[in-house]
Amino acid sequence: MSIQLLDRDVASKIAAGEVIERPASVVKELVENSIDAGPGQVEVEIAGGGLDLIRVTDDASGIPEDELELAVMRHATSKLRSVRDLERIDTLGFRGEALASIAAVARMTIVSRDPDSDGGHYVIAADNEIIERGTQGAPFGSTVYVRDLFKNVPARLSFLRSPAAEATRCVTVLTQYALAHPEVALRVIVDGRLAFHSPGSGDASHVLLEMWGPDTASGMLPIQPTTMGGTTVSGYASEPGTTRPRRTGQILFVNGRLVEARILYYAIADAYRDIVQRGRHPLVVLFVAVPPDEIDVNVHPTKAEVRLRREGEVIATIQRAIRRTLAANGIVSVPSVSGQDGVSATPQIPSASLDAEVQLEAPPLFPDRTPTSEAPTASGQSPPSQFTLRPVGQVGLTYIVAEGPDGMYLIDQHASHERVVYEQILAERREQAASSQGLLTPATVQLTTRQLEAIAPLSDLLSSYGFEWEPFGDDAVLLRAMPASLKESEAPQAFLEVLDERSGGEIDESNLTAGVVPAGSSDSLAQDSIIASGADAVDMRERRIAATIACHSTIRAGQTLSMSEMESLITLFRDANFPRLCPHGRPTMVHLSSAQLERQFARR
Amino acid sequence: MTTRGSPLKRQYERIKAEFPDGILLFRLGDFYETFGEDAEIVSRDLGIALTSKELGRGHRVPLAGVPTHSLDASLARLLEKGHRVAVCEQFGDPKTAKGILDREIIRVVTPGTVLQHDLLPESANNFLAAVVIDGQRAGLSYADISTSEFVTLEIPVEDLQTELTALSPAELLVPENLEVSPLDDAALVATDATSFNEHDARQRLLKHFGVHSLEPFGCDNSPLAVSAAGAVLAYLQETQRGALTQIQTLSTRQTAETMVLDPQTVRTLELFEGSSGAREGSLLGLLDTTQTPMGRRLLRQWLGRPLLNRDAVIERHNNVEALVQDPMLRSRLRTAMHGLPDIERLINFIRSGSAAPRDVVAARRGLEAVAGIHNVLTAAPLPEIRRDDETVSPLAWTLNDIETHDEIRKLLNEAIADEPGATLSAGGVVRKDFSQELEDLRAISSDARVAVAALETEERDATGIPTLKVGYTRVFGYYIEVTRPHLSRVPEHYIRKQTIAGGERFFTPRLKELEVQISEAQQRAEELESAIFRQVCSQVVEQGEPILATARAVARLDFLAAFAENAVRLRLTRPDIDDSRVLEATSARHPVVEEVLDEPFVPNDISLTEERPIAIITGPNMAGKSTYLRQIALIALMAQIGSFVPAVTARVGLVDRIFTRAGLHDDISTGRSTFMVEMIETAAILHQATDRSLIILDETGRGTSTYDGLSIAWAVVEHIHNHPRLSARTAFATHYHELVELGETLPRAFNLHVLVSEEEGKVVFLRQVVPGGADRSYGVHVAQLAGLPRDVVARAQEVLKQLEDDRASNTGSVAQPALFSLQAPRYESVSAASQVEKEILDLSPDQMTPLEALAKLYDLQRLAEQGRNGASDA
Repeated sequence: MSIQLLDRDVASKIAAGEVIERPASVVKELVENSIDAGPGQVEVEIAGGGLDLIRVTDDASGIPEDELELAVMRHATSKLRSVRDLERIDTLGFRGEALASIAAVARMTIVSRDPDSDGGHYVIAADNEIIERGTQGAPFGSTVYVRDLFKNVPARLSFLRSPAAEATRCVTVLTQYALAHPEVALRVIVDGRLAFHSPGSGDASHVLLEMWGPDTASGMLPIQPTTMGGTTVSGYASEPGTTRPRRTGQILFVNGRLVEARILYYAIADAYRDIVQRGRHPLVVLFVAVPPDEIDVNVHPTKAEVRLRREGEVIATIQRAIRRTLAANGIVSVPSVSGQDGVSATPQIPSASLDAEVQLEAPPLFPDRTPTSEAPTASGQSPPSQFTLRPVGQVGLTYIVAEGPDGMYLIDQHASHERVVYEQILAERREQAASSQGLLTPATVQLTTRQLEAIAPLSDLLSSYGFEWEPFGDDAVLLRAMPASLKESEAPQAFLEVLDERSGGEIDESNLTAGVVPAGSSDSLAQDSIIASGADAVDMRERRIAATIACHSTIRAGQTLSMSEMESLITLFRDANFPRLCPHGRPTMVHLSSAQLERQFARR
Repeated sequence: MTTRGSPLKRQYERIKAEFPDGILLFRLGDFYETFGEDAEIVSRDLGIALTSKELGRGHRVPLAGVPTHSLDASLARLLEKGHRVAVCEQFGDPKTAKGILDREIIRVVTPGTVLQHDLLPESANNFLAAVVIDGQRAGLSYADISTSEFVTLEIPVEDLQTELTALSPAELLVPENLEVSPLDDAALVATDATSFNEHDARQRLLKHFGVHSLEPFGCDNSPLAVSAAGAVLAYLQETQRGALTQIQTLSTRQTAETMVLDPQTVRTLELFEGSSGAREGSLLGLLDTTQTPMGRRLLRQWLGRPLLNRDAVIERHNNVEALVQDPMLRSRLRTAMHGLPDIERLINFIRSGSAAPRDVVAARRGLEAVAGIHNVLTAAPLPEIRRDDETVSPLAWTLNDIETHDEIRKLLNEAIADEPGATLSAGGVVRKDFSQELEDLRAISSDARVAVAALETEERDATGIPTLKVGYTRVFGYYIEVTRPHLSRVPEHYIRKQTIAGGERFFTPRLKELEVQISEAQQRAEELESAIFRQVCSQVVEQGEPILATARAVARLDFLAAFAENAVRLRLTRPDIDDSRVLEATSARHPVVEEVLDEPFVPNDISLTEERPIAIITGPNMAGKSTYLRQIALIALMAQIGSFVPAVTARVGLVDRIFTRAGLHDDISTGRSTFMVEMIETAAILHQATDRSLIILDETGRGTSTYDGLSIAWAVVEHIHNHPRLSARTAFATHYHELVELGETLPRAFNLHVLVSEEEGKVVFLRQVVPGGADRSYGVHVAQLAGLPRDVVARAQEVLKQLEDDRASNTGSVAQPALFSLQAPRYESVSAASQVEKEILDLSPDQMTPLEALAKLYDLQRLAEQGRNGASDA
């Protein structure tokens, strides 16, 4: 094959591919265009995940008839005239590529009516050609219809996820723009249903309310606008109790542009260090304003990444803004972070963030063997850790204080024991070796109607755990045997609780599988706690039952332990490789490293 | 049939005689059986097999049976078919009874008196109504026994049909001598005229409510309202066979407070049903974002009863505005209301005495949720709004009206278990530790059971039999089991009970004693549980009225919060309300059409003022005239039900009635033609409208030939314009562009037209309404859009041009006579050869079905061919 110049069509499709990756990119480009036009209302309709239809309608000034065709051409823009203007971009779009790029991969109709017209004018473009133009009835403003997206680039289609997932991405992008522009009333319709709307009241907290619901939204603290140098930061920051396992609740705008900038996430994490548990992320909405010539947005085709001229200043301002907000709400006492507030204090990003994340982590010396749902660490399978802890005493009859190679360890006696027994029970079940223990005196157990109803369907499962019982009256059973690990005195209670486990339960499997520490967050977005796939309902139920049995098999909080009892518990715990969470998702152990101790005592 | 027959037959006949006018479900074992005619109906309507049974010697009767477990489903279906059903239960234990069992009708269920909430549609009331007529006045009363609503009113006879349409009662009682036209959906019950007798009716009401005068109910001076209410009460008493505690009060509705919406307006504006007949596509479907069943029913009622009182409308708007301005409160309230159980119906079900424990638990959950709503209301200061330089707190009423019912909640929480059995006898109804007596009884049986379990060890020790076990079966009770090899060691005081494979089962006097203890204690516990449950229910019933008052307040709040939510979601604006005769809006939309349209809706301004109340809207068919007309009416209607309106700004001078005359439909059931229906409706409008009314006329006169139609339309508009009583705000849409002259000549009328752009001979509808009249009708263009063959369109254009030229040369001015210069005889001058043209001109495309149009087209083609052949032949 000889080298040839690409023909214009191919070239444009390649260029478009960089900007238009998926339906959400189309939505983003079109909404940016609409917002730049200064509308009161924007309505977006998405059908078939955006592949069938994306429609964006605004009530802004509209495009005059004679400029309509030009709008579809590449590098046609009303927002940029010369290279010099690139230095100071204050509109969201600027390259003049958006509509042309979309027209390269879809059939696009633009209808626009300016205030001087009786009706709307439209052009239809496909494959970068105008194929039809004319007049039609239209309200003031512009509407862009994008149909048959990627129909001419099948390769791109194959990279897309399900229509529902693509639609969700579109909605996510749109909610974020609603947040940045609360003065615009945004309506998002997905497959004929109103999926999101913002009131256009100009108050970003109203948008947060629609995005996250009243419970989460009321936990968002307004950030007092904070200015350092040329940088101003405002927005909302969550109370430390409102967190998510991923960063989906951190939304950053720089000069009104939605960005994903790693360095800014670090700045947030640093601001929240010590108060948010590892693996959880606070919800933060930041509006960062910098002088237009201090930001380079032309780094990435989708403009998601930006380069900041004064990175350090921006980071310092963000941290200060968040700490001040937390301090003002009595959550932290010292508003400052990372030493001084000075503009010069550019934090060493990686270390600052690491530092923030080791707070509640098990010592790094341990192999990170957080048991996952599918391969729990059974004591017999892994080589016992070389490492051991020396018990020092007991606090509040609940926590064992121990010393280890790197500082001090606080172990929850019930939670840690519970986790160990839970693992044992699951391991035995996997080997079909659940051991049963006859009760010395068979126990009569009185059942409620609901428990009676529960017993038949659970019968096999209960037997397999080692429970043996027989009917003993209309509403009672005689319990003859129990799982070997159970305490006999607690057998009836455990049996009843297992029957009650049938629906619901407090164990949060997502936390177990992800191996992260949950914080009592009341997150309204269910998608964040979607249970790891593969753990089907039966599996879940079995785990809950194992957790219930474990709970009744173990040392309780408030129970006095002798040194030797503490030692043997620590040994068990060590043999299980110090799992970090109890079956109910609470932490089992807290570690204060030598370095942290030294810092606390100002020795370092 | 002889009266001797079998005892069962005699029993059946006796009971059936009590209930001759409906279906008797007669309990026989595991089935509810029906016989004779009843069986035939049941078999047909439930689709179950019809068999026969010998009742009495050699006498077979048709039989159809419903299994007991599917009673509710069968009842629901029979009610839907409009039947009245009596359920006859059997009493006593078939094992022990001598002779046949006692049987008795325990309830009568009719379409209008259903109590079971699971048999009822959640989103609408289920009304029983009664009508009585005396001359020009009518009494109408209605009750929903599931929600305790009991209303009566007196109205002019001509409004009766309208009221009944709005109510859509499930069952309608009429005196047997009254002739009424059948009502859709409602089961008609011709009732003995004596139950309508005013004196008896009054006495019945006085007795039921235990009062000496009906004055407090507001109907003392309205004999017709009293008669109708008395008939409703009599019917309820007959069917409910109880104290009828649900009906605690009667209210007399003042018709002057709300607007009457006649059936055609309801239909034209698609208030409750879209064009497909479904809730989707209707205004109700759009606006119903309520969260509770009570709110949903209230919305449906209020949507059909726009307010006529300015202050009342403003009060609703104030509430909505407050909830719009406080999104956090709105969101929290709506979250708290979401999924709220149907307290109204649950409380009434408890009142009826047939509630199951789970109904009470659901009612408790409802009260807990209400307490949650109350918490939301008190958690932060209620929003205030500025109104005429005053600060008002429109939601203040909620704090008084939504009570938390702490005592009854406390009682329900303490007394009733969270997950009781499905029936009272299933037990587990009373929460642990509520009653010491019950706990003692429970302890007795549980201690005795422990003692039985302990016997195992004791008896093993005493007998030395290592395999000795105690056990239990449902049939034989508790036993001591000894395996065969050890039978020889069984002590003498063991009494053999049962032999099994591998051993024997015994009991001892001690075991027997314990067993009796257990079963006696259980029996007493069960009785005690029932007693406690009934006691708790009666305490709920005592609080019934206050709880219902709270439920209604919650319904109001739900309604208002839904309207606030709609205001934001649908971008509605608060209208200014006054007593003027103005209806103005800028950038108004049709809220329903806007939602279903694939493209953005083009908003239009509305301006009907006291100086110029009559708008003549011209423009071609399909240009959007009808949508524009409907949006005018909807803005007035929405404003007066308390909603914000789809416009950027709006001013609504209160409308006393909305009249619509739109759409073409033959009234097949009465054999009236399209034109007849149209004229009857138009006549009614001209008779009933006042200067405060809003009249929407869409293509009036279309149902007849062009010139007749044009003339009638002309005269109607003139009448509205000139009649001293009228001059109502009127929007008249027509595709007769000749009517533009009216807008130009009548001082209080003006022209609007829908913009059309012509491009390359094709029309484009711009959907924009602008001042002035349309210059022509574009009928031919529309025909082209509709796909009429090109030849036909081209020829039609020629003919049209010729006609227009003729007209221009015939008349210099566009004064009134011009209209009539276009007279039918003109056609005679058209040459006989162009029969085709004449045929085309005589067509009324709007009145033709596609099929008729196609058929006509074939005719035309044939005619044209004939013409051509004829020419060549000649």
